[in-house]
Amino acid sequence: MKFIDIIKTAAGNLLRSKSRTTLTILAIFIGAFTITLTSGINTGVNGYLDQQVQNVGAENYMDVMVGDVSEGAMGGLLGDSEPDEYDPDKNGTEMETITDADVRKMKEIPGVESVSLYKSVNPEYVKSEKNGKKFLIVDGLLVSDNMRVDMKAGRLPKLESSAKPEVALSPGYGKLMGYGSEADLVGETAFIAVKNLVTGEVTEVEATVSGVQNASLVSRGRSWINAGVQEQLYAAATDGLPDKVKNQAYGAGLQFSKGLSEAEIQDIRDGLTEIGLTGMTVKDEIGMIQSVITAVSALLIIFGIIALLAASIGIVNTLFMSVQERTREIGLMKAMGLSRRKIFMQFTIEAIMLGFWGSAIGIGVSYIAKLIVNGVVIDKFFSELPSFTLVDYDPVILALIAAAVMLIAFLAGTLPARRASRLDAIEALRYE
Amino acid sequence: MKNIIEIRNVRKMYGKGDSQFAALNGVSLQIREGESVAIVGKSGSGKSTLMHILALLDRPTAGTILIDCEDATSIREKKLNSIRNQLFGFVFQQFFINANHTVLDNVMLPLKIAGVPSKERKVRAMAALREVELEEKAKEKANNLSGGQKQRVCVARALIGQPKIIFADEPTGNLDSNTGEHIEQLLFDLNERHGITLIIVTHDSDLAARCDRQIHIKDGMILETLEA
Repeated sequence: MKFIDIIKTAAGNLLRSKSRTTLTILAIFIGAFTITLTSGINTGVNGYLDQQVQNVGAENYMDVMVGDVSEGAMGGLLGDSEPDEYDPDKNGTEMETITDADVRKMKEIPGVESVSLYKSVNPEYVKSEKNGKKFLIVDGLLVSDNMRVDMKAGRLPKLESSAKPEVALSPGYGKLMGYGSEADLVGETAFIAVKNLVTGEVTEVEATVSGVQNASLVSRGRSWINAGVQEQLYAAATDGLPDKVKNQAYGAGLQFSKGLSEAEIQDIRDGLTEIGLTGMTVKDEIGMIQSVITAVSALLIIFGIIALLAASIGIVNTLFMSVQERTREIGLMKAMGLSRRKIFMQFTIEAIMLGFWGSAIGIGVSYIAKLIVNGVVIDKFFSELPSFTLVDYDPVILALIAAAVMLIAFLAGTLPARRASRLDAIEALRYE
Repeated sequence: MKNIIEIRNVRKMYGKGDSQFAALNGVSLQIREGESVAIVGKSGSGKSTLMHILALLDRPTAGTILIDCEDATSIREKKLNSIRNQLFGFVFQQFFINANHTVLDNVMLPLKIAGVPSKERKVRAMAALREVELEEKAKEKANNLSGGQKQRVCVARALIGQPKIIFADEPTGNLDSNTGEHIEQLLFDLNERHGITLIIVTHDSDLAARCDRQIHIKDGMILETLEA
């Protein structure tokens, strides 16, 4: 028998008992759909995050914080670490901040190019010249000159020490401040106010709006300011405080040489750890979110695989019934000289076809689900993240899923196929 | 005339130990090309087992089989399959027709197994159906045919591979005497016109009497051979 005839015969046999075939395919479909959609979410969200990392650029930039963040946060969270004993050298208040002395040590780590302390003070408000209304603002010091932030209009503040004070506002201020659009804000003057820590007196610092950003996970609502703005804010806020308190910060931005390898970047992290600090690149931060998403989707994919295994028992069952019904036919074909191997092939191809249709329909429905999810759900829940896709399919992964489903179906089919191929022609012809 | 099938001292044992019994107990037989042979006997006599062994559907426990003067006792399964497909045609009492397929599909089955291209299959199937006067039923579902017509489809199916031998196992057993007569006529026509060797298993003495030779089987042994 020719291969094409085996395929046609297998297809014909599946059509013979339509409801049984449909139900079996339905079971496979459920598993294939679960796996496809889950991996689609994984691809979509992680793809978006990867894109964000790329958007940010700043490959040679690290956020530096005090202490071992993971230990402090996780240990405390899980409650599995006992309270540590007080050590004046280690636990002094000075050690909770980064000082100029730390900055000098950081600069000695090989590969480090520059370090800027986040001498941050929370601004009170921001207002424009136009209507004078005051709005809350969260600021962030821009320390890297190769950070690519998704801009709605204009550009990021200039970084050189000679640059005039500039701010790139997070989205939403334009209309509120009385301008026709966000873009109209560019080039206007914004007043960022800060309260003096001693007297409580409010000082407004002038900054030119260099641009307006799009929302992104990386900026997380921060308006980026340059050193020109930051120094004025800090000076106004800390005027009157002793110097000892003044020149320290809770964090720092560290820029290292471009083109360092992962290992060299790790050396910098290790160097920071030695002086009691922790460094995280943008990639590290987003990597933490990604690993959570990957873990959750792995769990869902396991559920999908369990569903598939249950479905494969359905395949075994369906084909066993089919072998039983067709016993005499198999006997006749054997008498007419059809080989065992081809009978085996005929049944396993039937199983593969069940797997094919299950995965094809699963992937097809997943595409429809993608349209619905990306259309409706993102509109409702993720509208503030433009260019975000929750579900996205990688053709290679889809092909792998389909191949895996068909492989499972094939393996399930080998049991009934074996039985069919081993039937004795005479016995089978006598079968009532 | 040369021997198309020859068996020498064939024994077929079933079961093991005390419950072992011989379905065939030392049978030797020569069938010449173009002959019509009836294998006659009561149920349990071993006549079906004999046919299965002659048709290479079953292997003997001991003894030798020669097909077309070649030893077929211990040849490989692949070769056995191809001999059955190329040299033999089968007609069974219960038809063994696929009721949901068309008449044409049923007739084409042996050629499909042989791997003949589908165009040639159709042409040859139509020719075979012409031979049994069922050309106009080709597109019909096999289920819609009468018993006699179904058996004619089986004859066409047995015929399509241009076999040297047709094995007919009680070919008229499920038919009334008129239609049975028609089928018998068809088979003997094939024997006469195409020189196809006919081996018929039956307990119908009238049918057996029409054959060149009747071989009577009892308790796994040849009781007597009657030449016409």
